[in-house]
Formats: sequence, C-alpha cells, structure tokens
Amino acid sequence: MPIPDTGRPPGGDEALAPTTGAASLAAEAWSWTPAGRAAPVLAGLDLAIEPGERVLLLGASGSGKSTLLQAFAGVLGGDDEGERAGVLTVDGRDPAHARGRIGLLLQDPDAQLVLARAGDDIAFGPENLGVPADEIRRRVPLALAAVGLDLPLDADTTRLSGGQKQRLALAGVLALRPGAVLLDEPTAQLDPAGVREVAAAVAALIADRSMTLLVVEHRVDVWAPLVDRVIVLEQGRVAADGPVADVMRAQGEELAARGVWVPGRAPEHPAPASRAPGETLLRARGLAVRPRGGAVVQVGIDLDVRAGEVIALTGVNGAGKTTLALTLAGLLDPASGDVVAGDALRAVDPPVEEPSPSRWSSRALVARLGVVFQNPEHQFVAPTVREELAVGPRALGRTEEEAAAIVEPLLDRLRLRALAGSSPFTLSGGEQRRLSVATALATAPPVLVLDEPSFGQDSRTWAELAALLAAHRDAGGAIVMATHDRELVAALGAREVVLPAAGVASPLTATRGVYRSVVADDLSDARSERPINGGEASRAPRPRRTALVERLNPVAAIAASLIPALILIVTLDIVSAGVALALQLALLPLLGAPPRLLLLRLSPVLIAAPLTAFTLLLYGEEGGRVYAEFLLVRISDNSIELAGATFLRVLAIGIPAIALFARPDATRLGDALGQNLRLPARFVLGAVAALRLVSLMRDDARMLERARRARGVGDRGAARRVAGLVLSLLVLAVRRGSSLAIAMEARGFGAPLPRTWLRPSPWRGIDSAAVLIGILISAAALAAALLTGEFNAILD
Amino acid sequence: MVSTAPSTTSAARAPRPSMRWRVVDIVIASVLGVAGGLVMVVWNLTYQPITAPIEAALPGLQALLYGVWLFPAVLVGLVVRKPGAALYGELVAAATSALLGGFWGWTAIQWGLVQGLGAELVFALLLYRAWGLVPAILAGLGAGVGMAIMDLTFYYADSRPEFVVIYAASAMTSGAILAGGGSWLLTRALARTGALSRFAAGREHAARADS
Repeated sequence: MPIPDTGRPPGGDEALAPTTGAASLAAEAWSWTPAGRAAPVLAGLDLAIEPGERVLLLGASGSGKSTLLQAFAGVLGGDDEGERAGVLTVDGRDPAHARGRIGLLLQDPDAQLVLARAGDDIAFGPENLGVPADEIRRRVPLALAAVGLDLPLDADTTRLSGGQKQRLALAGVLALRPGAVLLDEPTAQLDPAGVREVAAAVAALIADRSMTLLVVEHRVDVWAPLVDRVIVLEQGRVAADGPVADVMRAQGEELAARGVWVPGRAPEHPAPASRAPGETLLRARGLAVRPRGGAVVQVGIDLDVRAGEVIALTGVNGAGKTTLALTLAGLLDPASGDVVAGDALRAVDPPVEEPSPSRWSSRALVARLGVVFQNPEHQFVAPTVREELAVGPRALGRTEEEAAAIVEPLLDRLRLRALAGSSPFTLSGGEQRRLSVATALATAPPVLVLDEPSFGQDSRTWAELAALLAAHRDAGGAIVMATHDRELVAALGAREVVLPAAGVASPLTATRGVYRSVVADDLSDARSERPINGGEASRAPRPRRTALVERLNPVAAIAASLIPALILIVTLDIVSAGVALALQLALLPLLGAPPRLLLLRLSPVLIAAPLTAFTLLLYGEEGGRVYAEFLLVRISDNSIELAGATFLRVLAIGIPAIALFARPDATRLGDALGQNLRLPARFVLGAVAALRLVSLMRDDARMLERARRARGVGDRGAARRVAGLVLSLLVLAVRRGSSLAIAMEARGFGAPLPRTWLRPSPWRGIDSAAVLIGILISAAALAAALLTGEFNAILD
Repeated sequence: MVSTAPSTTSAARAPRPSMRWRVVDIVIASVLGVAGGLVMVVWNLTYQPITAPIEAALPGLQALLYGVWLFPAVLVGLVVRKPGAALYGELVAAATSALLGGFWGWTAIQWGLVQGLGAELVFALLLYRAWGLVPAILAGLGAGVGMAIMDLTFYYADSRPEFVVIYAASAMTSGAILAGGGSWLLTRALARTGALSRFAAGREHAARADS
C-alpha cells in the first residue's frame, strides 16, 4: 500500500472492500452507447490489466478513453444514461460493487476538489464510505505525505497552485486505499513544474506495485518511464497493445499524426522569420501591473512590441505573465506607468486619438488587438462557430457580405468548415483553440495577445497553432504571448521577456487564511475552534476573544434569528413590534459583534424600514380621519399608525436575522445542517461543494467581461451583455459541476452507506439558550399586544 | 434491469425517467443554485436604482422586475427534472446570496423556501412530466405567488387592496416572464452548448436543434 498500514480496526473499511492489494481490470466484448447517441463510444472492447500493471492509454480525442476510465470507476451512470453490453469488471466484480477499490483523478484541478480545507477534502472519500473517524484521522496526514504535499490541514484549497491541487486530489483518492488509480489527463492543465510534481508523486506511489495504474495522456514522454505497457484505442476498439518501445516503434508515426506527443517525433516547426522587426506598435514605459483587486505583481517594465516580432512573456507561476499580457491588451488598467499605442496602430480604422488601449472602446480594441484567452470558453459569445467568427467583423460595422468574405476562408484555413453550424461549446479542446485563434484573426488586428495558447494541446493542434502564429508574424503582425512552453518559444524565434518572481507570498504561504466569502472578510477567527484532528487546535492563535455569535451553532443562530419573524408575522401593531425591538436591542450587546460592523451590516434594514413604512403611510388601509387623498394615496389616522407599526416590525424582524448572521463558512454550516438538523447528507454536501466554486465563478465572470470587451461586443446594451454573461457563466459552472460530480461519485459520494462525520458539530447550552431567548422575546411581545388590546391580526 | 432498446427517436420520448436523484443531479442542481445566488447578490446591490423610477410611477409595479430572485427555482427544476429540484435550487440560491452578500441576513432563506415551494408545487401538479415553455411560465408564476405572499405579509401587511392587487399582479407577471420564460430560454441555450448531455433536458433540446 502507498500509505503504510496502521492496523485498521476490524469491521472498518475491510468490511466494505474485502479485496486488498492491487486490483485487476477487465473488459470482455464491452460496449457503451450514451443516451441520445446513435453510435457506441466503446464497441466490443476486450482488455485485461493484471494487478500491479502500469498502463498508458492513448488515442485520439473521442476514442473513448475517458469513458473507459469512468466505467472502471463505476460512475458512468445508470440505464437511463446509456446502453451497455458485455462484461466489465474490477477484481472480477461489477465496478458498482467495488466501491473504494478504484481511485479516479481527472483533468481539471478546479473541478475535483470538494471542500474548502485540505484536510477535510482528503477525508471526504472515507467519510462517504463510513470509515471510522479514528481511522480517517490516521489516513489523512499519511495521504498528504504520500503525495509530497507539505500543507497545513486547514490550508484553503482554492489558493493552491494547479500542481498542488492535483496532488491534493490524488491524496483524496489515496485516502480511499484503492487497489488501482486511474488518471485522466492529470497534467494537461498544469505548467511544466506542476507536471513534474504530479508525475513524481505518482511514480512514488506505484514504485512497489501495490497499485494498478491506468493513465490517459497524450504526452508520452512524461509517462513512458513510469509504465510497462501501452494500449491504443481507436474508434472504441483496441488498436495496439504492448510494451512502450514496441508500440512506439510500430505505431509511432500514426500516433504522432493523430496528435500524440511521441518521443523523438516533435511536431514540425515553422520557418524562421523572414524579416527584421519593423516599427513599434505598442510601447510600455515604467509599467506596473496588477490583477483586478490584487496587489502589484510587476513594476518598472519597459517593453516595445514591434511589427513582425514575437514576444514571449515567461517566468514562474504568479510572476504576472497573464496580468502583463492583459494589461498590454488594454483589458486591465496599468497600476502605474503607461501603455501607449504607436502612430501606425492608432491609424487603423476606426482611427483613435487616445494612446492608451485600456481607454479604447471595445470596437476600437477589436480592430487593433486580437486576444486569445487561456480558456477558449471564456471568449465565445455566439451560438454557432460561423457566427462566432463573424462577431468581430460585425462589431466593426462590416456588411454581411464583407463578413462572409472573411469568415468563409477562415473556416477552411482552420479546418472548422464541418463544425460551422455547431455551438462553439460543443467543440473539442483542440477545435476550440483553433476557433479562438481564428476569431482573433477575423478582424486582422496588427497585434495578437495570447495567454498560454499551447496549454494542454495535442501535437497536431500545436503544429497548426505555431504555423498560424508564424504566418501572422511574417505578414507584419506582432505577437505577445504569455507561455511556459519552451518549444513554442523556440519554434517562433520569440524574443523572451523573463518576468522575475513577484515579491508576493507563494501559494503555499498564502493558504493560511480561512475560506473567505466574496464580500465578507470581517469576522474570521471562527476557525480556531474547529480542529480537524486533535493536534491542530492548540496551534491556532486566538488573537481576540471569539464573539458569542461566532460560537453559536449555525443551526441555532438561524433558528434564533428566524423565530421572531415567524411569530411576529401574525400581527401588525406598535406594541408587539416595539416590545420585541426593545428587548432585542437590549440583548444585542451580548452578541459581542463590533458596533460599527453591526451598523454597516444592518444598513439595508435601516434603509428598508423607513421606505416600507412610507409605502404603508401612503397606501395602508384607511381609517379615522383622512389627511390627504390623491390618486391611490390615502393618508389617514390608520395608515399613520400602520406605518409606525411597520417601521418597528421590519426592524424587529430584520435586526436579529442580521445580528445573528455570523457568516459561518460553508463547511461548518453544512456540518450543522447534516448533523444537528439531520438534513440529507447528499444534498447538504452537494451545496457545500458547489459553494467552494464561488471564487472560481467570480473569476470567470471577470474574465468573461474582459473577453467580451476584447471581442468587440463590450459596447452592447446592458441587458444583452448581462444575458450573455449569465449564460456563459452557467455553461462554465455546469462543466465544472459535471466533472465535480464524477470526481465526487468516484470518491463514494452518494453511496448508500451511513456516512462518517469527521468534524464534530456540537450543540451546547448556549445554543439552546439562544433559541429559547428568541422564542421568549417574541412571546413576550405578543402577550403585550394581547394584554393592551392592540393585537391586530393580519389575516382577517 | 434491462432497458428497452433505444430507437433513434427515443431521446424525445424516453421511458418514464427515474424520480431518484443521481449524484450528477445533486451536484448540478447545487452548482446552478450557487450561480443563481451569485446573480442574486449582484442584483441585491443594483436593483434599487433600477426599480425606484418604476415605483415612483406606480407603487407596486416595481415587482415587475423582482422575478430575478425567482429564476433559480425554475431553472433548476427544468434542468434536473426531479421532485424537489425547484425548491432545492431556490433554497441553495437564497442561502448562497445570504452567505455571500448578507444583505437580509438569514431572512433570505424564508423567502427562498416559499418561492421555491411556489414553483415546486406547479411542477408537482404537472406530475413532474411536463417541462415545456408553458409549465416553465406556470412555475415562474407559482414562485411569483410565493414572493407576493411573503412581501405582502412581512413588509406590506394591511395595505389597501389596490396596492395589493398591483403588487401581486406585478410579482406574478415577473415570475412568469422573467423567471419562467427566462429560465426556459436559458435551459434551451445551455442544452445547445452540449453542457447538459447527461440530462434529459439537454438531450431533448439538442435533438430538436439537430433536426
């Protein structure tokens, strides 16, 4: 086992996974046809992998590699999701009955971690399988060590580097103690350092052959040293199977032609530049850059971008390559210093006087600077590929005929003709990359700015990309690209600008924080009382006394804050609302929240109360003397009284709901909902996992807005812009969600087993007291109204 | 369990789908709910200047734009098609907006509960079998009824009938059009991107787009 055996208690996970040691995988005449598709993805597959074998699975996109991995992991879905035939087994059993025997690691580092803190995330799988808490506590640090991660257990999982995230996800897989690990392009979205980290972690795990390894990757050089066997899938069948060297010798040329990075068969490089660089198109002087809302990452940059030249911005992660590229592209404001467009660039139609690209209109921008984002899905704005290409020309006011004259040749040149009517989101990764470059070229901008254009691409797409960029350069265009890709830098003869490591905290040291919500960073010390395992708690400093409201169980806080609303709702009168409000205000200081912060939080209610009261003053039921009357307005004795009562009641309902709102982190709220309120764990944890994606969604939203500006549609009306933005945001969210669902299911989520809750969620005396006080205050208020005869039932 | 052999037209008229929630149903419902909550946060911060002029023109009419708070209920219901999906989606969105923005504290959960129930009730009355434009509009209307009930008892209790009628009608109209029709359009657009391929909603719309 990769994790030293620590003497598991009898009746623990052994009861669930009677088979130990490395797992065997087998398929016999196995087929899978997803629902809604006519052709099978895998057809009559025959395959046997022995325990402890290490296998690299190759094949073109669409050959069924990912499907096969998901089938072995038992997460393909039920009969309503597709039709299967033949036999597929893990250790000779149906994968559905081999829960925990198979660990699955996916491609997207952001879409397979589940929880906000590293330790919780590793524990997620064993918790789902009902492994005893003590055993999980033993496994978590061992799994972390096994992947070579030195992180505190409360490290914020959203702040790790890509390589760290992938290794953490691997640790979460190992905590299940699987007999086989299946890796689905685990390094495709990582920079070279991240690739090395993950490959080294995997190498260490399989060294003693205690686990079977099946890895899907198109970079053979990374994995060839680790595997003994290669299987090539082609159109759902096994096309080649054997030792690495044999398969490469026999099939290397064919594989390379289909995009596999075969060692010794590097893709073709374009010819070197034919001319020396020409005039300066963009000039940066004394430029300092920072991401929106972030700290300055680079200062004092002087850079000339000249026609016919390729500039590669390189440097370690976090050095600010992307930030600099976006600033040069006019999509981020410089922190200080200037980016200035040269005369030739300003003269492009439509001409501009303004020298600084960040102040140009979206339309002026798209004529001059073509931007290719790292994630192509950030920049798609049209329903079909053809329309996507026409977006830029149309933004520049071209007629339909003129646009077609640009679009149609591009479709052929970039091999997108067959996809012209498809949604850009349905394209494969390589197709999306070609399309994103094509959209940038469609307006013939003199300058192309690209962010990691070759990331995760197969060798065929890579060669096409290099050729396109070289052609743009040779036609007198300039290129600025942020990249880690040494080979691309060499192929384009790029002038390399190496950015020094920024003087900011590394991801590792930046993880000391807690899970932070979007707006609220104010009350943050609640974490100190939530140890994941015994030793951590004593280390956590307690700089100030935790406010009472922070120590309440979230369920108690919610109950206590909502009870007044539910009780006071029956009447609308000054006495009950006034009494409740007075008692609440008297008790408010006990909660211990800083007064200024409280006032700030309460401001929406403090504004809403008089506004609502004003509405009642004008439109409340009339009665007694009428003071004013016009149109719908009737100000009367009764409406004046109703206004007063409404004012007090809105405050009496709103103040506790906000004062008792301590912004618990999502994990803590989920623990309370699942353990104290006994809500179904699957739904609670699903919501908690989704909440972790919020910071990604916020980043997505910013990038989408930027991309729309770069595409030339940033000047559109607000309603249209918002609708497009929301749709793109949802597409990205659903994509991540789909991957997350597979990862979670592979880690036992949804298993019909009693779950272990590792984190305690205690219900203490103060929790009961808080709920009781909420009831008493409201009851006292009602009693007062009844005794004084002021009770005014609202349902009459 | 052996499924019937699928023919080429089976995508649109598949055998009665299971009412059980799969893992992917739960996760996507959660993710869409959270994204809806994020939209609510932005809307909470911007709606007042937008709706104030409408309110000044005719009090109660401002609720015509309040459907923005209701769309997660209909959207999640349409995408996931499981009992409880509309309620769950709206509750997650409300809780998310509370956790991120804290604008109305925990009270947001009460509104989410009642609004979600309004949409859920409509889908339930249709026996969880109808997911077209009309059911979507009706579900949005149901959510609008929920919102009107909450607003008119918590904030505008004892208002005159004229105000109540204008407010309730506006809220229901907004629910029907913005939340109902809007979510139907969003679902269709999402399906066309291929993102919903594991959902019947995605396969149906995609099949129609092909033909």
